[in-house]
Amino acid sequence: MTFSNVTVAVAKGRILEGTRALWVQRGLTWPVDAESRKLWFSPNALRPGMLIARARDIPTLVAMGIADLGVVGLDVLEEHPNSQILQVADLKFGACRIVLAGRERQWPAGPTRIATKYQRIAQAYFSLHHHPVELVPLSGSLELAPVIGLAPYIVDIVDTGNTLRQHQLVEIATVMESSARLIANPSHWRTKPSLEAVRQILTA
Amino acid sequence: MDEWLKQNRSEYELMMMVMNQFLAQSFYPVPTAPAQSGHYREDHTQSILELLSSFPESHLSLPLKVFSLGPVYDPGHGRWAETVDVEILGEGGPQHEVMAIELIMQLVSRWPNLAGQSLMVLGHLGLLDQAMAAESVLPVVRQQVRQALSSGHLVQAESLLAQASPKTRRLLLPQTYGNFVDALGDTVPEADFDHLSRLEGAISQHMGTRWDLSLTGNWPYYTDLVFSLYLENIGQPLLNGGRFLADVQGRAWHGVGFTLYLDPLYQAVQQEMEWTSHDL
Repeated sequence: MTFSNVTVAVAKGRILEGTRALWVQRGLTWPVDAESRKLWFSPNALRPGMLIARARDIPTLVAMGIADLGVVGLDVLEEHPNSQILQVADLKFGACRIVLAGRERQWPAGPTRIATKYQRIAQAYFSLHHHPVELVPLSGSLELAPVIGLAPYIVDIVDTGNTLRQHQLVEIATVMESSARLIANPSHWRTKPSLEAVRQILTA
Repeated sequence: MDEWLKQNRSEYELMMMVMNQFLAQSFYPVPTAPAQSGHYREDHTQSILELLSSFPESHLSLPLKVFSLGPVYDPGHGRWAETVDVEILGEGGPQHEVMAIELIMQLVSRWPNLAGQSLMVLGHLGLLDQAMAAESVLPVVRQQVRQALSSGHLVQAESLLAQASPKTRRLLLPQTYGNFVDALGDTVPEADFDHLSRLEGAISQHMGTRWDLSLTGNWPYYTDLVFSLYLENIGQPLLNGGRFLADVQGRAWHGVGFTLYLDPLYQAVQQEMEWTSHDL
């Protein structure tokens, strides 16, 4: 098995940590030095190359063929869909949920305002439930929205729920569950002999 | 600047070369607009069929071989791609699948190095459906699997098929023709293997193939064979196509068509074009 012409793009943060654990478990040499700030590690015979990038950029890097494979959360793929990639495996780590949260454990009564950085996911969810909402796009610190009176509810990602509790917020409903996904460039996935080994691992 | 101008010139020469090949094979050009009703053109086929549907049915003599030239918009990337779209309209039967494949092979063979770097991947929506039906997958689930595959969600398709359809799942991987027909024979013994063999034969004398029923094509109007031509180490298809049935203004159009992307074609044949011009 040789990886000398395979490159994997991995999202920074929790996904990168989970990928490292899986990588080492499979007996591969992890290319990233703990102290290094490098974001690009070229492939060699022992291991694939690696690109470390922002989660939102991973699907683009894979669709454009810069990376053969990518590791990114399902939440990112659902929020920023890209028809030019394949989702080839649920890697079963990096589990988290996108939830509707508010100050009381009660479904909104009537039309309401919701702060979120997951506009597409939230819109699809409330459309499915036929509930009228006004979405307020925010890129971070969503927990503040109910506290400062911007919106009584938020749709945000939770891992342990500690941040919600610290802001006196409670979960009302799970909007979606997410975990790390292995994505692939369709062209490379279907034609590159070096990816055959990856396909075999996944189908085993 | 000279280099840039020369490159533009070469790209247009390539486009003309491709067009001339289709003209020489009795294809008719159909000019289509890049934007209609406030939407950018993402696909030529619909526009071609809308234009042709404006003629009375009695004026049409089928089979009709047409092509359209120009950029299509890719909303996923927010960019335009220069393309040539080719359609063989008529019965859209197996013979037109072979005709389209032979046409592509004639085009690719113009550049001997191109064929050596190319790989044709073939899928088949009809066989996918037959395989799932043979394993008693409910029609509603078959539709969901097809939707999942067409949007690239292999994980979701696998999960829908779960443990109940192990034979179909074996067909959702790229594999050689030999392995594919072995797996298909287990699931759909009544498949038209002679036709599959004709398709494989038409391609394999020029380039390698992979058969993979997870390839379902980009458009909802595909019904049977779908195919993508890929180049080694270029993460974009050189062409995509398939057999279709499209309902346009109440008229059912059967056919086989494909879209050729000129940018990756140029990247792949640039060197050979330079050698040819030096030889001249």
